[in-house]
Amino acid sequence: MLGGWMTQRTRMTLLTVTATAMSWSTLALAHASLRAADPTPNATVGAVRRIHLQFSETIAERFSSLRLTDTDGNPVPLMSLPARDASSLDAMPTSRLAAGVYTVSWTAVSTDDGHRTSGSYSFTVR
Amino acid sequence: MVLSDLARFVQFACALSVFGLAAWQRARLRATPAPAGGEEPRWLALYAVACLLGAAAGIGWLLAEAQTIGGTWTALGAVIVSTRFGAVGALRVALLALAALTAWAGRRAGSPWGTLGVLTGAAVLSFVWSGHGTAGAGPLRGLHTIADALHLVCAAIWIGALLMLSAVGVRAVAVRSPQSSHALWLALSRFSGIGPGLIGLLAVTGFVNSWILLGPAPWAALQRSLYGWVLIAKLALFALMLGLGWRHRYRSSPALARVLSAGAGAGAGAAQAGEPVLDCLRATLLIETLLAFLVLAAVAVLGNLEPPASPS
Repeated sequence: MLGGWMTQRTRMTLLTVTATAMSWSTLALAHASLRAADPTPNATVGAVRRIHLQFSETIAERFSSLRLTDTDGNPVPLMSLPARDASSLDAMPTSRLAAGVYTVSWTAVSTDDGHRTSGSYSFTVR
Repeated sequence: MVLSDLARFVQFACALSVFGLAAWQRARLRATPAPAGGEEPRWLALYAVACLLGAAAGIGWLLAEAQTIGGTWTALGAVIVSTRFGAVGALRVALLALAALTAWAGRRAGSPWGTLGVLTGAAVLSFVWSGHGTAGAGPLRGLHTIADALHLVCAAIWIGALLMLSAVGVRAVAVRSPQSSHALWLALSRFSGIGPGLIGLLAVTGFVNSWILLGPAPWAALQRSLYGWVLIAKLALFALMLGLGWRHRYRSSPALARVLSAGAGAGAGAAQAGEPVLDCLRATLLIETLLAFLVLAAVAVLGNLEPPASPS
């Protein structure tokens, strides 16, 4: 009979499994904010081989993104790279960046609560 | 965002209500003049509908999230597979669907309160892991998780009690018999035994959650964010509930006891004298229950807002 199908042992097992399955060890600060970036904001660099964004918590890479635009606002082609960890986004320009000011625009979706944050910053290539 | 808030509210309302009521039934704290066998199937049918509604709202919420972050509702699968909140949300839908099945089948099988309590209790706890419940770093995160879980369980038990008391109060006014009035007084007395402890735990865990989410300057943070103003509204509603609870314990319940004492063997005159007490008690219990659901609505909105402690 479905109404009493669950024995006491089954109930405790279900509770334990549920609690364990939910005990994912993630560092969460409610929303994913940008903690560090390379190139750093407002930096002047010689060459850019990799753009690395480090967030405050685990992000859903599938729904997060970063874009690079040049001084005129034109998109710069990027190639996605395997992220260093579950809290970062990595990409590299497909060709050498000419001298100028570039803007990184990012969107990050927290895997904990699904909230989306976004931002941008600029750096200069000499 | 509005649809997401509504879906979250319905999930909260259904999961917390059924868990709270099941917990009371399981603990044998229900007081009713009618034979249990006659009432249980109706209650279980209601619980089944509530759980099904909660599961449907859960699916709606996941679809809304898929649309928001993935640009299309067809991203639902990716949301469930690649995000924690998606996986937990899907688990919650499954738990509520299973609870609905259990409650429905229990109408004939009888007394599935333990199983129902476990399933809906797990659904209630799942909210901790699909919102701000795990915010914080290091030991703070663990503290927040525990506080949030306790907060949810206490809230569910309080809401379950209010729903039960409201049902008994409505019956007492409809029937107006010494037995139904006594059942109401008995239910109130039993709740008053754990009420203060529940409220104390709610206050402490609520303070811990707010301290973690609002940051080191909580009062300033409250005033400069939408999150803060919604939290203030939630606290105001909570304060109103406390006021009504105080009235029930120190005014209404003693007044009902006096009416019952005077009415024993005194006939129709004493019964009529007790009618205003019953009417007032029914009204205030229903109002307090409504306030509880408004608190849940505020919680649903808070879950979609950014707490002030989040680094910008």
